[in-house]
Amino acid sequence: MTRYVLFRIAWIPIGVLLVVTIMFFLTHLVPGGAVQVALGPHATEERIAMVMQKYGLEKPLHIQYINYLGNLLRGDLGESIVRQKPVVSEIGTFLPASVELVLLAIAFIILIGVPLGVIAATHKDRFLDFISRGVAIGGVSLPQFWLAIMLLLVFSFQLRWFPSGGRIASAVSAPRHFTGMYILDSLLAGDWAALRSALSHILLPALTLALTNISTTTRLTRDGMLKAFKEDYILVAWAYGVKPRRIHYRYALKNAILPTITNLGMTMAYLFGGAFIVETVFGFPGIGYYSTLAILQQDYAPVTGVAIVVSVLYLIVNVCIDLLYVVIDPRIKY
Amino acid sequence: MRGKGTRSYVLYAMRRSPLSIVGITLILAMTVLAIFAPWIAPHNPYKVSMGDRLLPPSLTHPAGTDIVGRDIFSRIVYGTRLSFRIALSVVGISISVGVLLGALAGFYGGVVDLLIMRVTDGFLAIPSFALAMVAAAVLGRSLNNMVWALALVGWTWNARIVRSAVLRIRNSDFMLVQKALGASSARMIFLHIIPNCMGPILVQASLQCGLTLLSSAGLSFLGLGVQPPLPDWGLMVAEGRTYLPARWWLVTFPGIAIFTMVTGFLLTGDGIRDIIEREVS
Amino acid sequence: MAEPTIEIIDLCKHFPLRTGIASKNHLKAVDHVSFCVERGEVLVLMGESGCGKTTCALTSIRLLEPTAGIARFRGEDLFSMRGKALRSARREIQIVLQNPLASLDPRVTAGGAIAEPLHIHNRSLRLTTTEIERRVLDLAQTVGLSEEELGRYPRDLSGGQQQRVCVCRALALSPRLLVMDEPTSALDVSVQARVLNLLLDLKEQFALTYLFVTHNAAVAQYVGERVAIMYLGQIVELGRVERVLRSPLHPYSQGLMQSVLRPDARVTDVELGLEGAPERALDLPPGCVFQRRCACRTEDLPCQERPDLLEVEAGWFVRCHLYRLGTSNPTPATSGGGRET
Repeated sequence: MTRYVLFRIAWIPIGVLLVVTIMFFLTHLVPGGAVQVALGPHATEERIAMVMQKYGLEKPLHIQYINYLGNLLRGDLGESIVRQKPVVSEIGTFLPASVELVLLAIAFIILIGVPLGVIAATHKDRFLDFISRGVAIGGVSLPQFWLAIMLLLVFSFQLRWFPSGGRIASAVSAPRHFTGMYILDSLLAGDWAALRSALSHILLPALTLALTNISTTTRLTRDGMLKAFKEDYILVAWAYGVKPRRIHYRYALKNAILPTITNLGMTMAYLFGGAFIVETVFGFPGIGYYSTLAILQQDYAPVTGVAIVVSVLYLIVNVCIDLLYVVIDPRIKY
Repeated sequence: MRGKGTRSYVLYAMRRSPLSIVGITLILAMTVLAIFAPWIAPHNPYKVSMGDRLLPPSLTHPAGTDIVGRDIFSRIVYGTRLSFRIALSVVGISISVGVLLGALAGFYGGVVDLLIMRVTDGFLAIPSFALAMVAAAVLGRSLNNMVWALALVGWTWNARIVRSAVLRIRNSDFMLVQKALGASSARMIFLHIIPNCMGPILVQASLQCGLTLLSSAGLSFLGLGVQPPLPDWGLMVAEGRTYLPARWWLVTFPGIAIFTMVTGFLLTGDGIRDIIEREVS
Repeated sequence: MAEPTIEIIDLCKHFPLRTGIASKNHLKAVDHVSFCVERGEVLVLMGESGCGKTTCALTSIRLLEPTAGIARFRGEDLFSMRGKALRSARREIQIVLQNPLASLDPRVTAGGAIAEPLHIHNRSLRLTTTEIERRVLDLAQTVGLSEEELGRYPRDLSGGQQQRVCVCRALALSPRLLVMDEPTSALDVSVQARVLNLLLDLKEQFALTYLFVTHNAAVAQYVGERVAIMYLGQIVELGRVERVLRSPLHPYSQGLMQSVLRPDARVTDVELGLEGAPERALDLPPGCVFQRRCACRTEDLPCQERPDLLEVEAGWFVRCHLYRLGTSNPTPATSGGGRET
């Protein structure tokens, strides 16, 4: 068993290496393009050459690659050419916001998606089944940027319930820094004004992210429960006189949850990917917002760095889920 | 090679899965719009008319006009052509590459499989939209480059699904018999394995069309995809965004269009999946 | 004596397993097995689940790659052939497997499945489309399939019909050797007899040779001429069916035959000669493979050494220490010359 764990953990650096390689070669197809954009149309040739030399951009590609890997091992993700600031520290500033957003979105997904799946399963092939599945699929079909704008139109501009962007009102100061996640920090500091402001700013983005990703969860929950229903032990419970609702929630749901949890790893990857658009539309200062701006400026070190960070998170989460599986399901042995 | 009983069987199965009927209807409707666009659209989608800027929906302009006076409804109608073109191109490339690599990985196993799967894992670990954005930005902002960027992201999904479908068949008795008969690898892959994977491949193609459309709308929204003056729906939302909240029609209708078409593709894909699963059980 | 159709010498098939970080164990599914199948005969490989009979049959004809050994077919070693020679040899060896539905491509009609081998080898056969059709119809007739059934898809045929399609397909290239792995085990009992009779008829009609794998003693007795009983990857007894199954010599064979239930109301008690639980090939004892369950163990028997397969009577071989001492003619057989080791 320990062998399996070690094996899985050993794959992580290889996965990261692959990610780095892909991103590196992709972004270096266009040599020095970022510099042009970063320095603006009026930059002199000397200035450009100077900046290129500073970042080692005129060296041959494989040398740059090796240098990049070397820096990576030292924890250096390069610098943003436009802002001339190290990527690592910038990611450090922006990451907690995204993590907060993704976690809240996952909470929403579970709170909305799982009950929908249960309703769909318990009313299989009847009206409610189609409605639930329809809502789930409808969610996925909505373009995230559009849903974001629509929600803003209705809830922000029309109803004025929520602010239209940012992470916290400018009038309110950020809570004391513990984790960088405003909600957590303001709870820990007892700063209610900050908490209220942070919550109202994060709600719409998290909802947007969640609504567009519930379909898989709903489908898995529904499928899982339907499969559990067919099992003999459900029939035995029913024969014993256990109330149907209890059967649904205690027995069937427990088994249906398993695939949903596994899927959470993939969902996380999607969410981080989806965060790019949502954060940009809401002006929510997370890593998605950070890298999107960088991409539009053809400044690729930030996005490469973000991709690496996200992939590492993704790989770690997947390993954790696999290990969790071994704990949860006693049938699985490696 | 399908039997005569299949047609009635498919119709029967479709009746049992009404969602797929909805999906197929939507796609068919969109196809009609695409083909007959010149007759359905009331105005020229590219015609600028400065006197008619930012008009709200009316009888002459059912969806209003945009910042340079173009009729939004006509642009939406013509946009169906663009959307089909994008979806089908991306999925076409993606499936060709993905099916081939997935089949090779599943069939040969060993080093080939390991290599292909590791590369696929690498691609999958990167948030796909980010990858698409970077690719689109690197290649240059245009429709064709966006297609390549999206295909670059999409093939991995196809490869994985085909690979698992192939693995299921690969170890069956049937393959053993083929080997005994002396069939060549090429014959086994192309005549037997891939046709038997057609079901999952078709489901995937449909779903992928929908998801590609969403991504392409997103990319165009950010400016990394389709460029003006093409009537891409994502682009239209971006163009209209600055005139909110007063001129809501600039953003609402293109979004509904995206939603409708994507829903059509996704429902169709789900429906096919239901039918196939029934057939298996 | 005419050359046997196929001669298997010292066949080994080991599956490597990882039981720890450093250690490697081997599952010896087939361990130094030798036998030959004479022309026109039916040799039955019999044994319980896990004894390696299927692996043995498939490896003998190189559908699984052997770990060691020689398979002499048409005068050459099948295991060292490659390319064109291998393909040509493959035409003469065909298989029929246990689950007919799993052996057929669901998207191909019965007729198409039967025609397929002809299409595969058409470069050397050079048949026209009509000739192929003709041949398919002829073959179908010999197994009792109608033209209408040929147009159906596998899922629309009964188990017996499906299996007949598989048999037909196997005959399409006029093979010399047919390897059959439990071809009737998945069929209803009433159909089994019909298919077995069909197989026997076909053998006569086309002068075929069968290597037949089964776990069922009744089937072995019905179709077989000679039988090889396998236990945990080794042949423990080999001889004519009526001898081995009626008065088996090896303790395992004896236990096996005692365990076979007979529909005889007078039999009220079955004495089981097999002690202990069924074993798996992962954990073989050194020496005699049956020693842990053998009721005949005594102190003076060298059970720690692996017994050779000895010829007790003409054509009857047993791998057991009980027969080494006190036998009038203990001739350890040599490999080659067409006889078993």
